[in-house]
Amino acid sequence: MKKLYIALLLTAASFGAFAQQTPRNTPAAFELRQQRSLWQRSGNPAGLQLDQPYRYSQLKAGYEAYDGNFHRPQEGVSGNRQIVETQGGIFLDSCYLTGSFNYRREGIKEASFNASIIDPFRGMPYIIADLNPSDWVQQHYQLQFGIATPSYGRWSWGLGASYNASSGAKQRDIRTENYYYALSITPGVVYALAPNQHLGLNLRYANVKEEATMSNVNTYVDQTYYELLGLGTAVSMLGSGRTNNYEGDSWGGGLQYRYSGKATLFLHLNYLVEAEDLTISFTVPRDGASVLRKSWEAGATVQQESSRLLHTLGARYYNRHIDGIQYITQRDNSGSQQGWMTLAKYVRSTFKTTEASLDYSIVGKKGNNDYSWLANFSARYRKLNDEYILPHSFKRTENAYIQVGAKKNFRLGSSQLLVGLNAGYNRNLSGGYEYNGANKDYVIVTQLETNDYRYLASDFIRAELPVTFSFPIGKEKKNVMFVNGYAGYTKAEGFGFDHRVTYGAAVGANF
Amino acid sequence: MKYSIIALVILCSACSRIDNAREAEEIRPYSITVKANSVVPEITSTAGLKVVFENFAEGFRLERTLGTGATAIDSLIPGIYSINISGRAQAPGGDVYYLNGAKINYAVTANAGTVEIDVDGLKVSPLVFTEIFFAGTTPFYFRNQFYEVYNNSDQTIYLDGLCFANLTPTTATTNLPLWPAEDGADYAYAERIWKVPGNGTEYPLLPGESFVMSQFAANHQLPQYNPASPVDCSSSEFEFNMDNPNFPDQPAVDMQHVFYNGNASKGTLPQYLTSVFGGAYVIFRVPPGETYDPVNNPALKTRNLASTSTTQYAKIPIRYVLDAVEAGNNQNSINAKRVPSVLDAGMTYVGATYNSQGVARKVSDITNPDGTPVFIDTNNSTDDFERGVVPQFRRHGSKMPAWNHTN
Repeated sequence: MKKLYIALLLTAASFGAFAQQTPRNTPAAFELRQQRSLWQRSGNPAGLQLDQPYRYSQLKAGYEAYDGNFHRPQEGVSGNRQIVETQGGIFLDSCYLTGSFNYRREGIKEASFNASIIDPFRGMPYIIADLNPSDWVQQHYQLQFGIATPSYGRWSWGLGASYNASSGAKQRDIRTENYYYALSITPGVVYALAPNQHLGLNLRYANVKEEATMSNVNTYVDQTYYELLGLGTAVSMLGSGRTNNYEGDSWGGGLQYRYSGKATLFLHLNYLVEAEDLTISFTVPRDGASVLRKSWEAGATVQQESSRLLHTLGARYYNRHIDGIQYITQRDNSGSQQGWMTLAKYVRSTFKTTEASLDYSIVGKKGNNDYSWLANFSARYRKLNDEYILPHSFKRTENAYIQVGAKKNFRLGSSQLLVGLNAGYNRNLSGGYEYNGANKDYVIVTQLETNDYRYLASDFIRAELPVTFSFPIGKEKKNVMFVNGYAGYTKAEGFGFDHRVTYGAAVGANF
Repeated sequence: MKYSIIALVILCSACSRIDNAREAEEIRPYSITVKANSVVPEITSTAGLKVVFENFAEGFRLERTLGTGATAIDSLIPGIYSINISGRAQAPGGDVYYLNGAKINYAVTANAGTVEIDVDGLKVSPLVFTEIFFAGTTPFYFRNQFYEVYNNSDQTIYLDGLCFANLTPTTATTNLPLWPAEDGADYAYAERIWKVPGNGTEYPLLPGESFVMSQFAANHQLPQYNPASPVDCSSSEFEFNMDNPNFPDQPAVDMQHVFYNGNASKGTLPQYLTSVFGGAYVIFRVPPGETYDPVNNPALKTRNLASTSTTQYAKIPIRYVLDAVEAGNNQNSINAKRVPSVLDAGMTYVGATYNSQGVARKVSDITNPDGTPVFIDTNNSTDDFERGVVPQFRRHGSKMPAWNHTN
């Protein structure tokens, strides 16, 4: 909560600083600004000043909920979130500074097969799974800033940083109390090849840590739990769990190129390598497992803007490869009592994700800072190929997803009503899950992995209806208050899944 | 300067973690050469013996037959293995020996390695544990634990003076104690020892008969105890009476207490509870002409040198041991074996606590002339016991001794 107070104080302080802001920052204008901010989306803070920056701030608080049986086994059957988010941009002398703070409290109902990690989908397969579906209570804080200098000759410099902290508690034996943080720093530079051509480079370093301390409240009942090793391979245990300590580092960087002419061309290439170790216990630590994640992403965006229309065509390719590394360890029970000794380590599993997407949007502008309508189309191809090497098991899926959407900005006097509709269809192209290891009757195989595969290989249709109503406030009517809501419905086909609904509402203000 | 040093430390740490992960090689099957050395002078060849590699954590098992000399075993997944060699071998004179040898927690981490294992003529015990119930019954009822021992020989055996002990650590753990180096591999280490009373001929056990030692030899299915209990222990031959007035002495004969924490007295615990996760149990007999007094002989007791605890444990010479069974939480606990492999090369389990399930020794194809069974005894509890059975007394037609108090 202390962090929340600090963020709100910062936000309040920023209100005064934005008193001289000129354009009215309606929700539609806010979306348009984000669409134009190609440098900001690339992750290179040095390019922020090339995104036509201006002073703005937003504060909103909201509530979201979800329910329905179309979910991965480790997701909650239902749940809700309370959200507070702020973000803003400001000129400090000739530098431009952006920042954001998000707080989210989430109550997850009846999540299964997870007793050791706040986010079981963050690319860490080595977790503890127990047999009791349980509620989780989680809190998440995200603090982020980016600052860009003006051009010094041909050079612009920038620095970005983020701090994410989460805590989570499982509410049923085996219980766990988890604390997570991720700290990242991103220095960047942009070089002007010509007045209309810029080349950017940024580096990225991040450090991650998550601690999970498990225990039973009912100490008379020892719980069966499983140490997951990937794709159904698991070691069965009995008791109250253990202490898991995850620590990771990552290095990466990005290259960007922008050409501005009749149209804007933006190219980017990012690479990231991450290693995260799992150490079991603090008292007599044992190497549990490690992962080595390597990901790269390439994208091209073309934007063409006239006084009436803004066209954006984007293509993106993403590839992530994770090596799952297991250790062979043995306890030293000799006189030297060296604790756990690591005798060898091997890559035992690989997890590969490949994505390619194409997005097109057209915006009917209203003036330069607002829009009247927009339409978009996107198509995405996604392939997952996970393997346990020896004994060989695999889980593979290939999906194609297309989505069309539209939004209309209705003017109601000085107020605006933004109504949208998105519809998508996912088609599974191929897939399979085959487990060839020991203990095929473990629920980790028959329920967790099998149902996870079924979710990932499901066809579904999805529709979402977002609505935002906004109106000016303040004496000069330059600030905007808004209320938004959305409802989403996903209908699954096959495997016994039915649907998932998501809905939410928020109230906020743009300054 | 200070910040530069901090940045440098962070940089080095990050690079080290990533480099460490990058050094891991992709797993591939290894080959290992096994050489079995017979320590039975009459047996010179170990060809034809069965060798079993078991990686319990991963549920991987590989079985091969040894050839002449060294035998190459391929397709092994790197890991921690229990390696067992067993089988019959015929000496040139015609005598048939059952040979057995093992290595526990052997790390296969290199390709083309060699492992040598001594195989010895198996000591066939006339007395064997045939049924053990340690897990208790929900909710948290543990007083119905019992241990059944069977005469698997063709001779009458007098139980008088037979000792029963549970070994330490009481629950399977990878954090094993450290014992005096001079002990070598000659001892097992007991937390508590009991003895069958008698003058030497009071408690005969005929071939095909078994006797039961219960924690509390009552009918546990009575309302005041636990009607859900799978067993009525009131027909037990012996009980471990800890003088608890709430669980009064039963008609079964009381076992005689021998040793606990360096003393002959029972201590203050209100019951003799062994781990509901599964303990390690031995029966042993002191050879005629020898004296065994771990209470008064300092050479027969020791503390765990790996800890600061002053708790004393009794040393049981391995040559005294007739049978040993090790039980643990589940199949993965074998990585935490407490019992020397020469006594029990495996481990048995029921997979949960308070589930009213026990373990029972398997019967062989052979029966005694009176139809009573002959039980399998290969000194490997993993293979010799059925797991997760509903416990019962005198399974498979084992007989009750005539001196049982119910007769």
